[in-house]
Formats: sequence, C-alpha cells, structure tokens
Amino acid sequence: MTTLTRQDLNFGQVVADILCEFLEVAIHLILYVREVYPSGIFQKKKKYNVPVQMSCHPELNQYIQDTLHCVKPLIEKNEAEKVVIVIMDKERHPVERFVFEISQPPLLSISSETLLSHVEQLLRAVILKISVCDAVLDNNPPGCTFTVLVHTREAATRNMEKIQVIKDFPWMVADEQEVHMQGSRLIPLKTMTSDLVKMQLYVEERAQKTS
Amino acid sequence: MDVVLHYKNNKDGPSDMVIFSERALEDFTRRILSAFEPWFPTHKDLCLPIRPQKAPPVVLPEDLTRLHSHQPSSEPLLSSTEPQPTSSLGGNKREKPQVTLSECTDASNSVKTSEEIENAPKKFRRSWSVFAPGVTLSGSTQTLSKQFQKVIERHSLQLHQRAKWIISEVNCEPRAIESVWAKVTRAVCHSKLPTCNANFQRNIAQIWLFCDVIYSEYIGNFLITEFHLNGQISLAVHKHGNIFRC
Repeated sequence: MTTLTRQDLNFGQVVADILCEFLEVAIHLILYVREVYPSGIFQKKKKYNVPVQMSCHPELNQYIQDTLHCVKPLIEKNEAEKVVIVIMDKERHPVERFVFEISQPPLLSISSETLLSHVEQLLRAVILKISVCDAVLDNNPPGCTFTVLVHTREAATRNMEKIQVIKDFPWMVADEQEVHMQGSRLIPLKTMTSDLVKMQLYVEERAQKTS
Repeated sequence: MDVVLHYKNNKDGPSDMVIFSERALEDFTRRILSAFEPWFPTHKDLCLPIRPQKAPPVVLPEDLTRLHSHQPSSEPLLSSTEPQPTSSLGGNKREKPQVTLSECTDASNSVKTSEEIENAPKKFRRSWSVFAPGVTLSGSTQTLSKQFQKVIERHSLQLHQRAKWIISEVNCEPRAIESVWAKVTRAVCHSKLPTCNANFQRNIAQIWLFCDVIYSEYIGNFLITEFHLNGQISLAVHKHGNIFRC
C-alpha cells in the first residue's frame, strides 16, 4: 500500500469524479422518493449494482448536470464542505434538507481494492438508504420544488468565481430563508468512511410541514 | 466582609455614619456595552451557502404526456422495468443488444409547446442505433496490433470493457456529419461493426461509437477506411479518457 498526497495522481479530481457521479444519482433518487416531480418522468436504471430511479426529463437532467459540473471544481479543491438538496414548499420555505457532508483526507492510502470495490460498496449503501428514507420522513406538501446549496469552507463570496464554470448558469449567495429551518428534526441516514472520502448524509426535516 | 469605620465624635452621631458608609459601599452604576458586530464580512455572509440562480424546471402534467408521446413505443429503455445502466454516467457498462433498431428525437426536442409539436415534421431524426445480435464474427476482427496491446496493458483494460470512438465534424469534412452518421447507422444495422452501438450527439456535433475493447481497433480502422475520415479519431475509455488514436 502506498501513501500519496493530494497532488499525486490528481487525487482531488478522482474524488470529484466519484462524488459528482454519486451526487447525480442521489439527486435523481431524492427527487423521485420525495415526490418533488411526478413519478412518470423517472425510469428505472442500474447504478452501483442496484436499481435507481433516474429522470428522463431533458431539462431537469440538464439542470442537475450543470449544477454538478459547477460544483465539481470546488470538490476537486476540497473547498466544498456540504452539498445540500433542499426541498421547498410553494412559499420557498424549506421542508427538508438532505445534507451531504464531505471531508477528504490530506493523505491517500491507495490500493486498487480500496479505490474501487470498497468505495462502490459504501456508495451503494448510501443509495439504498436514500431509496428507503421515505419510511422515516413525513409526506411533503404538494407543489414542492428543490434547490442545491453548496456550503464552502471559506466565505461563499470568495468561491463565486470558482463555481461560475458555465456562462449561462450563474450562482448566487442563498437567501437566509432558504437555509434556516425552524423547529427541525435531524434524521441521520448514513455515514461512510473510506480512504478516498468521508461522507455523512442526514436529513433535516421541518416539524410542521403544512403551514 | 467586615467594614471598619473610623470617625470623629461630633454632634451628628454614629447613625449618620452608617448611612454614609452604606452609600460609599453601593455599586458604581455601569453602562452595558452592546456586543461588537463587524460590519464586513458579516457572520451571516460567511455561513450562507451558494446556489444556482436559475430555478429548476417545473414539470406540468401536460409536459408529462408530451414526454411520453415523444418516446417511441419500441424504445425499451424507457418502458422497461428491468434495471438498465444510467445513460449519462458512463462507466464500464454493457449495452443490452436489441433486435430492432429504434429511433428517437433529439433530447432537446423532447419537451415542446403544443404548437411546435403540431407543426413539427413527422419524420424522426435517428440519434442512436443498436447492434443486432446473432452475428458470427470473423477471427480477423479480434486481432490486435502490438501497439494497441501495449495500450491495453498500460491501462489494465478488460477485453470486453466498453470503449468509445469519437467522430467529430472535422473528421467528416467536406461532407456533412449527418451523411457519415447515415453510413454509420447502416454499417451497424448490417452488423459490420461488432458489439457496436452508436449515438449521434447533435448538440456537440459528434458521433459516438461504443464497442468492446477487443474490437475497437478493428472498428477504428474500418471507420477510417470505409468512411474516408480526415485526421485522427480518438478512442476513449471511462475514467482513463482518450487512450488511443487511429
């Protein structure tokens, strides 16, 4: 087993590739499980050797891909602390927040086994948890929408330039009302620890979803 | 705490002294300072995350019916309940061979207004094609050059791993890429390209041909010679990127 730093093998890029690939599947699945979009736009596919629901709506797919394309450089440089999928009601108040908290080790102990099969197993477990999370969550009110928030390690304003990768896809600092949720309960879903990346997923759910 | 008071014995007596001493021991009045708040950057600014300015698309029930009406009934990927590999995520995946060739419209055209749908020509533009199974492959298709064998060893590729040939507009000049796409489709249809399924990425004007690594060199040479392509075409493998040029 060899120990490498972040600069070797472009370690950050490897982690960003794996995480963005995973986040794409996770976002599609959350939107399906939490019924943000009608189930008719989703189709069953296979990822990490488990069935997942992926949208076949081109505009939605493009939106998710553009979002992750912009997030990727931040993950690559280990500047993204949390990626949050916020589900909001009609008044744009959050009702649920799926928080992916990411941390990357400064040193990488590398072997083919740990890199591929182990990480895939762990990501599969997270996906499976998402697919059954509706059992522990209350139903959302009708007409919900979603947004993706990225919490950065430094001030958000410092990272604005780094995330503006796509010209027609601008980013902005989120409103406070989109971030804070009063009277929420915390539901831990899954924690994964690998040599490549550590991640924990939890849901913050608003106590009173119907206002 | 004991307080000892020394005083001169005068006419006022010790009772006044007690009042004086009580006053002297009273706490000083203090002004409570307001907490310091830096004016920039504020704590809120530091904590607030960033989000896309653009809102995600809203899917109306009408969109849903349009989406389904644009999906051809013969396309198994969208109607099947069996698990299929994800389309946009790449990876070492095997396309399931299909008996029939299916046609579909561009992805960008999948959601349109009702007027556009009514006015649109009935003709579908083919954007992908699939290898028909049950074809006997000759031994010559599996022979690999030493140079390509080295590439396989260097990247530790499996022979049945999927690889992708990319034909761009430059390779087709002076002909239109559409005409090359028509030829590619015909070749796939007639099983001239083993294990191949092809995809026309119209938005980036590229033709992607997916095939097993073992046949990829044969297919690359076939494309160059049969379709008279200009320049070099590149072979990409998931996670390794471009590994070979032909």
